[in-house]
Amino acid sequence: MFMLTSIHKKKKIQLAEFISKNLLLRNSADELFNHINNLKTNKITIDFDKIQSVTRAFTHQYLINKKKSNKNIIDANISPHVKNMFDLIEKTKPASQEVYVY
Amino acid sequence: MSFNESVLGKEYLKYCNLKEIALNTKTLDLSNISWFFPTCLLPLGIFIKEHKEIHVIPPIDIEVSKYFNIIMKDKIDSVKRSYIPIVEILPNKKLIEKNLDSLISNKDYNMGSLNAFAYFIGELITNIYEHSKFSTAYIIAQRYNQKNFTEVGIIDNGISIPGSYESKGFNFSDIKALEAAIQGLSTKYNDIECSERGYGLRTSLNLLTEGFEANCLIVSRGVGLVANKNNRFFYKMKEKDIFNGTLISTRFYNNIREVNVYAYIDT
Repeated sequence: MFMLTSIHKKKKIQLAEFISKNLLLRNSADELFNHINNLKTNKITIDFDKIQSVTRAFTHQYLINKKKSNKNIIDANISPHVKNMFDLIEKTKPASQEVYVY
Repeated sequence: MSFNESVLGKEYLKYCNLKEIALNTKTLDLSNISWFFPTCLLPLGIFIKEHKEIHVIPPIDIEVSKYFNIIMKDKIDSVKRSYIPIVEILPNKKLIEKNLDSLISNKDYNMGSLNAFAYFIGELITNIYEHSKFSTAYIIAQRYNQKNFTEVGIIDNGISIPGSYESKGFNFSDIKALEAAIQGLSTKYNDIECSERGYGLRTSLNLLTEGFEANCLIVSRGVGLVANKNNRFFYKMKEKDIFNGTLISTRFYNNIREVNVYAYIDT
């Protein structure tokens, strides 16, 4: 009974507190999802309130990790600036699966 | 244009000259230094940390000496001492963005666009973590009010850009490696998750030189690049001027307009 309750419990993560108001690094997106995936709750809201800037590297890794995660993740309070970056990454083609060395 | 005709190139060569004398005499004499800019101070800091046997004579000028001492500390606590414009980037350290907040948000820079400024810093630090295999790395952003510019330097003592290509099996000259990095030359790779990686340097250089209209310097092992809005000059560094790592330095001038970062991001 307890487990059932835990699974259905909601949790909100304030990104500005968990990472910073500037979302810069790819490995920070990994750290975020290491944390999320270890939570007992299944439904998680990621709150982008107060986020000032976001890089392509962070956004790309965030979207990959979100897709991989088994959790039910809801993005909240995404500013137009952050949404622009999300849209840009999502519309960018995998482009012949090339990797850049630097 | 020769390398030392650029202001940033000249600052880097100042470091090289100090280093060369120090290696020959085992003494690094900074007593007559009247000021440090990040382009000289950053590699000097790494050099001193890697050559503990060299005797350092600090600057006579008290203010310059204080500034110099910041980077000489074994551990820079950027969170508690947020007024210091330098952040040490530590290997294996996670979630470092909060350490960078005060540096990024410093209103003294008058950058015109916080998002774009944060963007290039984030992308270049991501490059360091992903490619350089460093043990020491720093970023400094320093405003010089009387001189009307801001200089930002990012440095690491890792395998360098040419070394990064070598580690992937490329047999490039150092100049070719940097050209490749800036042009985004790539190799086929079967991991779709990696398909986004590698935009950092190319996008950042375009953003800096075209968006911010800043001057840029890159030195990575045996190659140097001086870039501005109109030109990009590559240089083969003399043996004594090689830097074992990567230094990226940029100088922003006043009256910087708002920069739309998305105009410079590859899609």
